[in-house]
Amino acid sequence: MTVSVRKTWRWIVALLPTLLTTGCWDSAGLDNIAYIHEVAVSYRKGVYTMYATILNVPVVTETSEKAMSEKAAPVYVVRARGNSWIEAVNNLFPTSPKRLMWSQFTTLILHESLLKTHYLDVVDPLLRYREIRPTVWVYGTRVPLAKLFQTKMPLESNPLYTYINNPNEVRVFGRVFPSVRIHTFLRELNEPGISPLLPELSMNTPKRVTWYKEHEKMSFMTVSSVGVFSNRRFVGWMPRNALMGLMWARTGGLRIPLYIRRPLIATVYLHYNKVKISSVQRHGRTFFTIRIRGKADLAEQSQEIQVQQLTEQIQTRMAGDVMKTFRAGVALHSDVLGLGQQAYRRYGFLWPFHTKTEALRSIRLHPDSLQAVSVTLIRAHSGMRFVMPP
Amino acid sequence: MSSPISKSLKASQDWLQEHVLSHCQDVKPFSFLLGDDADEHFVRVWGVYLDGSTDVERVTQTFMPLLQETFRRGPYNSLHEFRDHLRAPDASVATEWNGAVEALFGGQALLFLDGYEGVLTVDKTKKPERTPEDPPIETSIRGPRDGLVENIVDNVALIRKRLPTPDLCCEYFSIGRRSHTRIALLYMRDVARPSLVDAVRSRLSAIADLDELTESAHLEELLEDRALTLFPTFDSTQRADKSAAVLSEGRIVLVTDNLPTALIAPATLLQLLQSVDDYQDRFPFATMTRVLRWVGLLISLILPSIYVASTEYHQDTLPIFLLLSLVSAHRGVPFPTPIEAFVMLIIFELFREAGLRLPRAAGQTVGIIGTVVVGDAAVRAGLASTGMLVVMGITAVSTFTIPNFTLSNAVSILRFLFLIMATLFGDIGIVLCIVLLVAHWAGLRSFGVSYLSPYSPFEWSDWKDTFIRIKWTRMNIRPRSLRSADHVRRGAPKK
Repeated sequence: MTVSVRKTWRWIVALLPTLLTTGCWDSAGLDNIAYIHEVAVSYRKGVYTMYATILNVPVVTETSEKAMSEKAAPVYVVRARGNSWIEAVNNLFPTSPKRLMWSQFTTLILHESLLKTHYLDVVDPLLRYREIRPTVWVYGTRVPLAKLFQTKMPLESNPLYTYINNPNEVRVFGRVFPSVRIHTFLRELNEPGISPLLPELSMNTPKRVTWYKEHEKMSFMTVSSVGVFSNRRFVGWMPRNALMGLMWARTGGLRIPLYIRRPLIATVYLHYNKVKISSVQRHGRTFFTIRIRGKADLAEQSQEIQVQQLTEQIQTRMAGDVMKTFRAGVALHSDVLGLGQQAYRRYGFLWPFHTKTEALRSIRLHPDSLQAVSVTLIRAHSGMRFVMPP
Repeated sequence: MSSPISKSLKASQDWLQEHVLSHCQDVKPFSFLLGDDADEHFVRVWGVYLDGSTDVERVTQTFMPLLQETFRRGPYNSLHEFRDHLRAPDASVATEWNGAVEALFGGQALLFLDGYEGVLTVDKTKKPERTPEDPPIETSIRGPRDGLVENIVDNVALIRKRLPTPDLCCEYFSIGRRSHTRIALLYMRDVARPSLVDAVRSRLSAIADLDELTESAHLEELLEDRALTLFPTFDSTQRADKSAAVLSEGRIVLVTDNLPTALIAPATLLQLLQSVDDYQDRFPFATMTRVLRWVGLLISLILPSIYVASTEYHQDTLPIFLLLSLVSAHRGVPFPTPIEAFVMLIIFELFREAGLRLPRAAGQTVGIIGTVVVGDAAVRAGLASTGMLVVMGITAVSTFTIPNFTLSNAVSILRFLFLIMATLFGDIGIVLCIVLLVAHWAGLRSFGVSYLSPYSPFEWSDWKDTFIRIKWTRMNIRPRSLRSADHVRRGAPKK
């Protein structure tokens, strides 16, 4: 053999095993996979219970070759238990006739029982597995999981179209707390001076709304409140009457209605506000002021009233809401408005590295830490003026 | 064979009889008497011509009377003197058999005058040829319809018609011991980079010991910088207007006799993705079509492999509804997706080849049967999934957006490589292939010009005629990557 032929053979011998024995072993046939879509976990007396929805692809018959995206994709709900969440998952795997994959996993629901105990034991392995992306939507709930997974949603022919699975696509107007992805949640969990907010899924909360399907009342899911954390510990749910301040000063929202009933009658819509937090340090404590600037759209106005008067009333109301939220947060020993973060970043240089605890103590909130809330609104859009004949 | 032609007509007849006439029956002899019988001042003339290539009618009707009249004004001492008195620019004298035979088979008539050394050759050729018409593979909507033909003289004339200037240089080379193929090297003297012209000239002169040259692809292989590559380092065209345009850009054009295809050098990848119509429409539209062609190149290269990689390895890259559609479409197909993709790709190439080989009308039928009937039947029979069929259909259509035929063939081969790598390694394999491909492109040179220019090496001023095409009135300078002798196309030269 000449040198070049020998060289070629060497290449072939080296390349063939590399090409044929690597990589392709984990390839999966398209229709031999089932996809885990949603997972909910609860905990009771050392036992983790997992509910998972698994997507099943409907059979497309020869007569209807149309793509089925709009049609119902039946999902299977599976319950699995184990002494850890991983164990529950591994108990599930052998029972599935198809290979289960996590690549389409979108929603994680953590039950209150788990939140109060070992929720980090679920989050941690979740992020270690390569098939799962840290873009999973994460929710908390107080509803028993079995009930949550038996609900049939209104308007949803396809369970993949629920609000909780694509909150970005199902645009929700009004007083809905924005959903969070797990990377945001974890980032805020590790950040000093801010309390991550976990949207709470609940069923049938708004008392004044009923959905019917053929004269039967339907149950529905809403995001009714948020869970509050402090130092990575779950400390409780925000009271519902203290939620509005979060929307004004922290998360914002799309077309949040604000109803004014006394003494004037009007409705305005508010959008994302500009929030500016400023702080001063005095005697080892930090005091904050919040300045909110935003635009308001007038939606309803019953009498001819002075714009100035109305604006002032709305501003006072919003400032009151923010203050109420702040106090509710302090009652839970948490910083729901993220005030401390501003001071932590701003005054970080004042504190040597080894005095981090000192710094954190200085930004700990007290009921009087928030000194003032000022709101400035501009009327962005008042609609066409329509004068009713007398 | 190279011996002088003797004075004796008999000797010439014998020589030709032995060397040519005995075995080339398409060479026809004829003879007549020149001068007047009455005053005994006459000479016996014997001639030969190539049947079908020599225009006998013109020889007898226009040349003979001239010959007769010149002869009457004689006498002459030599054939050269005779020639000097002949008022015909297309007549010349050959003294060696070698040149005479070459002229004969080039279509010229040979006239042996008894008593004179040498032979009179008359260039009244009329070879079988067609008139210039719209080239079928490079159609243009607004452009001219006179494409190149199989005659080098006509082709040079077609180009010269568009650049009637002495700066357009035309150098002839003859290549091939047997074929004597004439090759014309065309360039603009004051525009083309001198080193480029020298390189082409020296490479052409260096071609030796070649039996015959009949294809432009052979010429391409003889001249190219790098021997082992799938990609064409010459652009080719069948259009005279494109040839003229690239000449004025500073490139060179090689016209080969008997071929309607001219070679253009240097060629870059971006140039291969341009078409004539780009310059005949408004510039935003030209930009859009160019971007579309790049998209087409990319799709035809990687779409099947992306499909295989996404469905086999990276299901998370697909939106859930698309994934579910693909899964339900694939349900019941007995083959795994990679095998399905291979089979479909091979079938696609089969149909393409069949369509090319068959007569044009039948080829279209095969195309329709292939795409519509067989594809649909395959899905109904559960042999292929609809998703795969859509992918293959888009790939097939995208392949046809690539204007250069050689480039699209290269893409067809690479597509299989991409598919193999995607099957084995998923997206990583595709990325690896792209990296290697770009590295290969970056290593290619076409007469010293990088294949990826003006992106690598970076030349900002050339960008106006690459992905995008700006207004023609703004393209005031020639491509800098060609390092032309004269950069300025419009306006005063900038010092």
